[in-house]
Amino acid sequence: MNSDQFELIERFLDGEISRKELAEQLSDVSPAALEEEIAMMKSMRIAVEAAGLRDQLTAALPKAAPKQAKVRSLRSWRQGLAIAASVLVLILAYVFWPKAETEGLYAQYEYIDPGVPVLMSQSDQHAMYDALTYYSEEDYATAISKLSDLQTQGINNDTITYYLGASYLYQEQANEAIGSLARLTIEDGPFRARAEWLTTLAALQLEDMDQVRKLLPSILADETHPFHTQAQQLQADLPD
Amino acid sequence: MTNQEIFDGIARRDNRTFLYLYQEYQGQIQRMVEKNSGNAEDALDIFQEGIIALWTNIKQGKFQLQDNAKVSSYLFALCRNLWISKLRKRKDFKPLEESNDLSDHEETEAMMAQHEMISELEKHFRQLGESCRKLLSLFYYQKASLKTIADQMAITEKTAKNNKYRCMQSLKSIYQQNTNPSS
Repeated sequence: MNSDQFELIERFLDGEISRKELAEQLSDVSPAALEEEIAMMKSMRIAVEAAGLRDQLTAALPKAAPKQAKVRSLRSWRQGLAIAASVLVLILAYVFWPKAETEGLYAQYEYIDPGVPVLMSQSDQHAMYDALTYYSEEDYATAISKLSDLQTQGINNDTITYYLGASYLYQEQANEAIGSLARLTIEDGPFRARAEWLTTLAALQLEDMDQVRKLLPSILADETHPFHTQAQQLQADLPD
Repeated sequence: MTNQEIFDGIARRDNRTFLYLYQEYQGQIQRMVEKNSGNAEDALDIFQEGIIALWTNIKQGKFQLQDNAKVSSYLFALCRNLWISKLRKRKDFKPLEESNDLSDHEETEAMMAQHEMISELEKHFRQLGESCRKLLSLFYYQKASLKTIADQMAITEKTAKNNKYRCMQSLKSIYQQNTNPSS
């Protein structure tokens, strides 16, 4: 199949031309061969999209299955479940609640994570550090683009997931931030505490105070949580 | 979430929908897998595989929302069949109970064969060179225009179009070589 024939089949699959038009323009190809080419191309297009979807799922869903999470302490398990449930409710609530201004409490409590030190000598992770350079320079739009690209290419880890979520938050895309950070709030790891706080801030950005109230207890219950003090102040500042 | 919201969310690859399905049904899927020679890690793989199969079926029009069709039940049935298919490839395969909840045996077999083909193509896609993977992913997954791709990859729009053709031909060729080694 040459490139012109390829483009014609693409146009057919995109609904730009009818099957009859396609058959007429490819009259030199036998009907059986044409069917085979169409089926093959359709499958290849889906496979490329499925690869992207798999990477998206790997980034979005918890890495550990629910039962594995039980090996953690009971309080930790309960906290994780409460946060996950709250995140879900928050997401659903966002669908139905109108988005208001992002000022007020969010601005008061906004926490800008400075990012990781960028060591360009770590050439094996050059692409990730390149993306994080944009994050550190507060060019969050480019950071989102670069970090998403890495995930698309199947390169993903907690650092990428976390800074992508943080970038979304600072770009006032709270919903995307919640989606990106959700897994990190469930699993134990170096980003868990910060992901919990940023998820709370995302709820503040959405001005969804009920959800903020649901997210705060797990931070307040842990006196060693790095955002414990901020959580206490925030709880006191919440409107009745 | 309603059945319609779940269906629409999967079709547009919405993370909120995937997280909802995970929270609601992963436990059920894990119990099914663990009862049948699997572990929690297998269950997570099967859940992800089930989501991809469900999305594929929605995209191809093979699963349509009807009054009596619950998306979650369909997802569970898909996961179950995917797990059976995986178990069959193991030497210690012990058949699961007969019922599989999908409409008929032939249809299920055809669906599993199609899913295997897509998985195989996906595997070969990941073996392509980085520039091919990036270009195809931008075009087919992110739905970027050739102009956007050209800008991002610092090439002309014409080169982007030619490379798209070339990369798809490479994918097809690798797949065919692996499925029909003699061809």
